Amino acid sequence: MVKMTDLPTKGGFSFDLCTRNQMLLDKGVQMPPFRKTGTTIVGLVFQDGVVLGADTRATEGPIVADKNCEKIHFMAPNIYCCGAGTAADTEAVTDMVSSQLQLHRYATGRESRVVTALTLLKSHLFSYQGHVSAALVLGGVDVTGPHLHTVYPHGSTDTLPFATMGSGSLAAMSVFESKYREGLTREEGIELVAEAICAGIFNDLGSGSNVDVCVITKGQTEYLRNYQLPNPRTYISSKGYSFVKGQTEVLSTKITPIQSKVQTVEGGDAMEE
Amino acid sequence: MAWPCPASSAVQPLSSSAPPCPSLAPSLSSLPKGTRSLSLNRRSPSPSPLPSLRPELTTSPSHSPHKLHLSPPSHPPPSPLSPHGKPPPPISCSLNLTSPFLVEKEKQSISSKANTEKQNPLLSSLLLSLLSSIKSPTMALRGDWMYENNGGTCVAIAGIDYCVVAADTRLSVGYNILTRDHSKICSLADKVVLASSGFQGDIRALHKNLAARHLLYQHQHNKQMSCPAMGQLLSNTLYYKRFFPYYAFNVLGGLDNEGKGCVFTYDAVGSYERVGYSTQGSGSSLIMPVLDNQLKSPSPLLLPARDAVTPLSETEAVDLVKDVFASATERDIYTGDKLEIVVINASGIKREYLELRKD
Repeated sequence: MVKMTDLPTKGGFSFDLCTRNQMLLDKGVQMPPFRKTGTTIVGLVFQDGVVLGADTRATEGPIVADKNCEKIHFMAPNIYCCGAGTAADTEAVTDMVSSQLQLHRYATGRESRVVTALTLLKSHLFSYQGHVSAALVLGGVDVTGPHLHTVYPHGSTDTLPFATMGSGSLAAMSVFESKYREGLTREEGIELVAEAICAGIFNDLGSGSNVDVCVITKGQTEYLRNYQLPNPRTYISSKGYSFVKGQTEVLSTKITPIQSKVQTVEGGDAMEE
Repeated sequence: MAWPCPASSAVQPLSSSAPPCPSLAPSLSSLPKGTRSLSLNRRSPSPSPLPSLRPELTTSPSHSPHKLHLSPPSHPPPSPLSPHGKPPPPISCSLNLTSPFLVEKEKQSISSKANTEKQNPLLSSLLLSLLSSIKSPTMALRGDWMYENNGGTCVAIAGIDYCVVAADTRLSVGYNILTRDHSKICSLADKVVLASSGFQGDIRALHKNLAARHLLYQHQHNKQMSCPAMGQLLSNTLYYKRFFPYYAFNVLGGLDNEGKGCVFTYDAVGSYERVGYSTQGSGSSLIMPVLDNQLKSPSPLLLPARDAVTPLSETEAVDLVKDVFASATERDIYTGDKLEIVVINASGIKREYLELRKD
């Protein structure tokens, strides 16, 4: 009997499916479009901590899939993360790292640090070589102070006093570059973040609807969901709509009754519990 | 398996200043500045933001060429104009590595590389295999950079003695807004109004062309053109450029010779039909079903053939148009800013505006 030797386990990302995907493409099979958030997300450091902001529109190509989605994800009580890129990827990766951080808190008995979350995120994203399309703005306050980082889909990170990501990042960054200064107060920080997000909302088609803000300071976090709603619906018909049966013309009708066959089995075994 | 992110500034055509496809822009900005993923054979998986003129090009050339549907499947479907020639390419295909312009550049760079690496036979054979795997262009003049979609939606509704033509005023390219105040509606004659969405360069040219032809008609016949006559003229003008079309999706509205509302809907190459109502543009698929349901127009498929005009009054029709655009604005990113409503009735042409969401 010949013993089959196992192949050594390969580390890193498995690219086996890439050839299969290419083959499918050549055959004309279209990859289903994934939902991108097409976003504006921002963060800035002010004198007492960190303010994060995000818009609330999720798009699927040119269509708005969700008018009020949540892009600021919970990582730890003192750390929050905004996500841009593919919605599934940002959700999955932030949930995963959030769980890992909680286990780490139990193991160490200490409050989570922002750099821990950062390292977990960047090593995960790097190992997937950019295929996990998540661009994140990570911010929080820990024992070492306030921190703000950006994480790119390929796994690189930056540490910055103010940051923007997503399709509306240029619009938001123009506001930050004009008006940011060190040592902002809490109110000024929130106002600046809201202004930057609004710039993204109004000037970028991939971003829209409302402004979400999250303020993290030492010992306290405030998640201001729908902090601003600058886009109310402009017109509602006062008549309302009625959908009377027969309103859409029926051109022809054919009714096919479904005949069901019921078979009774004589003396069958009684069902087990 | 997650789809690879399309990202390579090396394959962007030189002539375009803005990213040709909206889905390219977010992925570029969300990637690190230094990213250069060399992917010669990767096709763009991004969904085209608009119904592509030639669907098979966005996926792969081996996709079976089905019957040409230049317009989105709106009501009614265009007459079977299945061409044998190559239809105009879709404008939304980013990173189209089969574009001749790009292929030439790649070929030059690769052949020059092959020349310098002659001493290394393995490397040069690798480069040659790469070269052969680049698909050669089938049409010399093909290129998505010739067209651009500026978005927008148009609607026209015919009533018993009026016609409502409406269009939003947003002009966009990619994920950017160029202007919030651009009219897509052109008043061609006393009783004829044309609304077009698509590539604004072609639309401007088309409107100018029609206006000039109308002026000639007036000089020759000493009267204004009627709506059906203008309808035919527009169809002929569009078909005249059958092999390099106007990227314009039109709805023509007005009053016919009897004073009844009259709407004609077109595809990009001139197939047209007189209908009771129609929409074209990026938000058309969001609006059409609502009009089908709420206008209470008799179906054109019913026999005996009936007039397709809506029995609604003018105010009811305008109210419906406003509501329907507000709804389309909620879900379509290319529709918004302001709505221009033009009402044509026996007393002339009246214009009205409604503010829409600006995000």
